[in-house]
Amino acid sequence: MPFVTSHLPYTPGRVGMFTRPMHQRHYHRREQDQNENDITSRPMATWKTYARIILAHVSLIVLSVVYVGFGAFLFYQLEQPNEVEVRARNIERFNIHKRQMIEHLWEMRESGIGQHVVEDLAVKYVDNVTRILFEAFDTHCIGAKHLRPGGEDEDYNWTYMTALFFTTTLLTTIGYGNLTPVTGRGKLLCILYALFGVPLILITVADIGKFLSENIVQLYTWYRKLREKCSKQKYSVISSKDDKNKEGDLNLDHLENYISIPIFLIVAILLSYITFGAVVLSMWEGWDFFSGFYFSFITMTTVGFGDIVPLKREYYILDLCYIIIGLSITTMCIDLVGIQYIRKMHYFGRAIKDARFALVNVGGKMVHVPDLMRYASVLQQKYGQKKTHDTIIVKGAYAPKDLSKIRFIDFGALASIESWQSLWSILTGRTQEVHV
Amino acid sequence: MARKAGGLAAIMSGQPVVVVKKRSVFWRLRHLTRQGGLHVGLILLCILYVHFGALFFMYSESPEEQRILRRVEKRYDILRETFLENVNRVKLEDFSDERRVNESISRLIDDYSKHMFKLFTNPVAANMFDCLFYSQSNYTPLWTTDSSLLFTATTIIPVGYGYIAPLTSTGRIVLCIYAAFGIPLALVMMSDVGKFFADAFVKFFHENITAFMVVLLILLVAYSVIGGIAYSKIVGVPMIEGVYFSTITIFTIGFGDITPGIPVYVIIIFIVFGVAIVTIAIDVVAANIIHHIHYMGRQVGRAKIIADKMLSMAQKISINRGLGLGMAQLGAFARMGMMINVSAMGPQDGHANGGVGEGGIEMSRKSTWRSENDEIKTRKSTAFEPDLDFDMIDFRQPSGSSQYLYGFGFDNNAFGLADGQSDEDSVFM
Repeated sequence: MPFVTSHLPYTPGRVGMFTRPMHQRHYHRREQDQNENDITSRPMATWKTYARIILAHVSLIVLSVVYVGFGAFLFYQLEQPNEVEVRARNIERFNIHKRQMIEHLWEMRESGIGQHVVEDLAVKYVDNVTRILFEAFDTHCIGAKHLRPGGEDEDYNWTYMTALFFTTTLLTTIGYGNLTPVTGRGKLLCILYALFGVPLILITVADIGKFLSENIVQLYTWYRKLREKCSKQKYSVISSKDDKNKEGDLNLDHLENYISIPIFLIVAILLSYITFGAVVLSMWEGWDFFSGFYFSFITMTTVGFGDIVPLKREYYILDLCYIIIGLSITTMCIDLVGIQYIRKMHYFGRAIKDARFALVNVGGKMVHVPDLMRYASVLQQKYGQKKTHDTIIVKGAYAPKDLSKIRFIDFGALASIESWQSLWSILTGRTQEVHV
Repeated sequence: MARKAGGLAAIMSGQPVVVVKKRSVFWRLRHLTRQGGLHVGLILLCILYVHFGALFFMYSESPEEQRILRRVEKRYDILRETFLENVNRVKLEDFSDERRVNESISRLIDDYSKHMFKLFTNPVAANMFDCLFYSQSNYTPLWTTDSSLLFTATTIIPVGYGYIAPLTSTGRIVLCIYAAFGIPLALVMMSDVGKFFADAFVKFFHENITAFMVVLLILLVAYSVIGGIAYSKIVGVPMIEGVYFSTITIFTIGFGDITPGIPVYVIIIFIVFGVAIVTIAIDVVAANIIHHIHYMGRQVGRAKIIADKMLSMAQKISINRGLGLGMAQLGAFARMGMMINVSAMGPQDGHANGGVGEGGIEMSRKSTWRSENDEIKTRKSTAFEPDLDFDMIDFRQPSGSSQYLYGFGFDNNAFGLADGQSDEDSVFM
């Protein structure tokens, strides 16, 4: 269920993106430090750093691919013999009935029974033939060509490629249903396989989706910066105070950039991909454009009715690549847009709000937390310098060993009932925030 | 500028203002109504959306189904009559050569089979023959009230059995639009309901996330197995088939190879709660794993922890102490803000800020997760380390990094990711 589970309100990349510039600058400085100490170790360190970053993602993807491939092998081994048996049995039944019909008609003609009786018997035989044909069709593994003499071994449903298609659509919870396990052991394997495989594929697709969403955020940020540069809105650095204010503005601007990615951009990306898929699939399978679009949409949302499924087996691998990338794009869109609305709806009507967008009451004045951070930066300059000066004067003072363990508790606040209620609501809010 | 100056003046004055608000029963009831109104409204909206969608699709697809049914019946009659006439003609023409007559009849049967198989591929025809041969009854329409309701519910959840699917182009277009709006709506509703259960469970387990995860997975498997057993008892199929059906359903795979023989409302309720349980399980378990894997090898994850702690602290300040923000807390908050800001600046800016800037850089370096060798190198490379003035910190402890990081009373992360020392050093609890 990538669509349902992969667009769940798990931890968004918002905070990560907010702190990303710090990480980048820090990495740059650390590189310089290493360069100062030991120049020859820099290539090795860089290689190790990138390997460490990429290894987890690549391992996850490889594990998923191996899981899908091995599952396809197991399902093929379990279901293919059953298909052979079912087909042989139904073809044998059809052939027996056909031979009986021919012999009986010949005998009736020979014996000279009345025409009316012969016609009634013929109608009955036709109905029986129709019933046998429908039962053969209902097994989903027999077509008209298989009933022809010599056509028994053509185009089995369960080949390794079709099993691969089956396992991928099973684990991504699309589930077309054109191909399903019939044997008891196949169904048991399907239960266990889905129980472990669906979370694995979900995590893989969500990981790719998060990667895509971060890239979209970065590209959009660059686009906005480029547009601002084209409109010639540059700020000049006059003094250190202005520089500090600019730093605060930069942080706030980055946060705003992240939040205000327009929804129509996300929807445009999604529709573009579905349209692209519709065009390509129409070419491969011979559908009209709207059938391809309908199939793409039903697949990307993991509904998967199965009324339209790809039939050309040589394109199955390409179909699977399209499906996986499409699900990652869907996850990306939900990651960027959906999380906000889910969180807002969940906490609607409550006093506890998301702290990063909350108004803080400081000295009777309502300010946003980022503004408070900027105030804190300015205050730190004066306050820190003052304390440094004091420390020099009282350097010889006695500092007890366990000074950090002494707790400064507002007894008056804690003693009151409102304080306990506030504490409980804080814990509740913090817990809920963790789960968002 | 003026507003900032005013705010700064207010902060510097440090005047606490305490406002006590009386809470009456009326206020409490209104609060609960506001709090629960949206959630109940969301559930009702989902129910209405499903029902109206069912009505639309039934009235849109039924005429097409009737037309196809008449065409299929006519086609079937034509095929039968043609086959019988051909058999009679062959029989009358050449009755002396038995082998040749048999070959002709065999070829006629093969042609009849081919045309019938082509006819079977139409879903309306398959349903007609299904009623004719298996149920021995009159035709039962594909699009009834119950089947339409199950269709719309399993579209927006999105299980997608495919028992029935729209036949007309209009139906397919409307289905795309219907699903585009309905799936987010159903997602939000189920996530919203699931989150309440998740919060209640977390309270019940005293915020022990590991125990909560284990119980959640057990609940997931138990729900699937119990649902499967109940289904097999009601319908009378083997237990493996029942468990298979319920597992395929609550994971929203929905093959549609097994037709449910139970009332539609029962199965919809089963699907909603099952998918909600899967939602909670994936939310709690997989989200944590996703976060770890995605940010593995980076320092952003660590910075995220710091940012989350700071935001939690800001939230606590704003709610618990509100107007009574003290100078000590503000100083600590200012230092954390300074750390975040300074670490975002370049080395030149850091040096330009003098001693305080240098201290900030040093603090941000140590707050990053590193090995001891890197730390020693970093410390060695710095020629001048000024005395860092932090209130309530024991300077004599040998390892300083965690001290600097957790000396400001950060709360423990509910996932237990924070250093255990933070409990010991917390000064604001």
